[in-house]
Amino acid sequence: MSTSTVDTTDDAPVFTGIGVVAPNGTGTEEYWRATLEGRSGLGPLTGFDTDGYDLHVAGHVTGFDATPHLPARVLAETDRWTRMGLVAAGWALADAHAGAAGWDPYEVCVMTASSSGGNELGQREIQKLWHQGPGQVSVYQSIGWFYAATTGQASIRHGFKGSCSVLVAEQAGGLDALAQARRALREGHRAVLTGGTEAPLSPYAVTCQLPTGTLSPARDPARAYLPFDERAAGWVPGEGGAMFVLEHPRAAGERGAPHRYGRLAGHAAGFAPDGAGRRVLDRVVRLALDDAGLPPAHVDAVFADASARPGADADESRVLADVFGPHGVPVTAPKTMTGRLYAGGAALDVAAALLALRDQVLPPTAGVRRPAAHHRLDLVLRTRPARLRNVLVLARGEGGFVSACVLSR
Amino acid sequence: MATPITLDELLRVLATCGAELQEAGDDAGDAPFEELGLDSLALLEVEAVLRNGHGTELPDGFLGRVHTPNEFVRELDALSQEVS
Repeated sequence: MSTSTVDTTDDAPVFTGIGVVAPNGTGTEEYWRATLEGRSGLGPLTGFDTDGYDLHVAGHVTGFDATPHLPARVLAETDRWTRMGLVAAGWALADAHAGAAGWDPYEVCVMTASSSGGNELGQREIQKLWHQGPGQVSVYQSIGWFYAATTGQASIRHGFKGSCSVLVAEQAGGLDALAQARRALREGHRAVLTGGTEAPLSPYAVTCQLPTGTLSPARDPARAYLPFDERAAGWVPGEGGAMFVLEHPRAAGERGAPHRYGRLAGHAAGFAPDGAGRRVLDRVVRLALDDAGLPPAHVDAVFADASARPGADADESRVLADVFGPHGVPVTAPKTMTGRLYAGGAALDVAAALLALRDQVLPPTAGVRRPAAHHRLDLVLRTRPARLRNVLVLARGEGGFVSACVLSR
Repeated sequence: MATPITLDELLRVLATCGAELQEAGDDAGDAPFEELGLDSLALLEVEAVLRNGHGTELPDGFLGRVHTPNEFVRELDALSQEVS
């Protein structure tokens, strides 16, 4: 086996900036420190009278205040999810030294993922419509609730006038946005502001999730989200996400971008009808590796989707055993410390994977004490130093979305 | 009904609708709405807040005719005199 990375992806886009807003840390390094220390951001679901909601644990981003970061006009126009996206975007751009990049505005794109839009703002305004009449509904309902709001606000705020879009594919959208960004770079754009955030912890948002039957009913935050564990009983939702600056490698080289966290070496997406989850995930993983030009043996770690529903966990572990061999590759799920952030979740996993590549260390799957033997996984239960060249990130979205991406040093 | 409004009252309403008044400082009254960060959508919000919070109904086309807070106050004052 060759030890060199197979590189058939000269034009693979490079990540030059990261911004994170997560339940266990606001700001990239704060999040990463907490994650490596195994500090969880899960706690009681709060913020409203939760009586009658069969969800008790969530990943709130406590202490997040957008006020110092965003102008009053933008605050008036936006939902919490967009504010988180804009703050993370600002940090990613600063991290990439984008201000000094001298970009032509028409060569820079914005492509974000969102799976539920402006839940809190939408609920507030619909309540006004119901109780006080149409004259009381804010005009910002028209632009604040819908999925493209974060992309639009980021485009306006930073003056990026290249191709702009939003990807809606639940958890998988965070990876699909990167693929869309790669497409734009291949078409000649210079840079893309991309990633995803979500704020799904308001009453209406929680109500929409309850009927899926996928949420953990547990009351103890330490036991609520235990993927691949004998006690796995569903996931808990969280809020936040991550934004990135993704650049054409030549463009990043020419301007001397200060950070190169890693390259987007491969991506694939599929759609699984009921009962086909395992077959589609298997194919998507293999297609992503093909796209990256890598054999399975060159993948050094997997950031799992880690649904924590026993059937979906079994699908995922079986695919990983089939592709990489039983216990054949380290598998981790730092989302055990944040909950699933939907569109923000895969984006946050990408941030963790890039930081893992940078620091050559794998974050733990927190809280899992009794991994179920039938999964045949090398599950990373404690922070583990590792030689990492290529990592695979998996994401499945409720409804059938399946995506995978390969990140390389 | 076109009830008059003072500049201070109007500026308070503009601020709740996201106007950036600090930079303009004492000159806010004569700053064009765009310079205060108020686009056409924000002005629709201003119209709604005045109607719901102050009982001030702006006549059709009013917002198209005024471009600064002072013009807004003067024009509304003139209209209220016409009516009474």
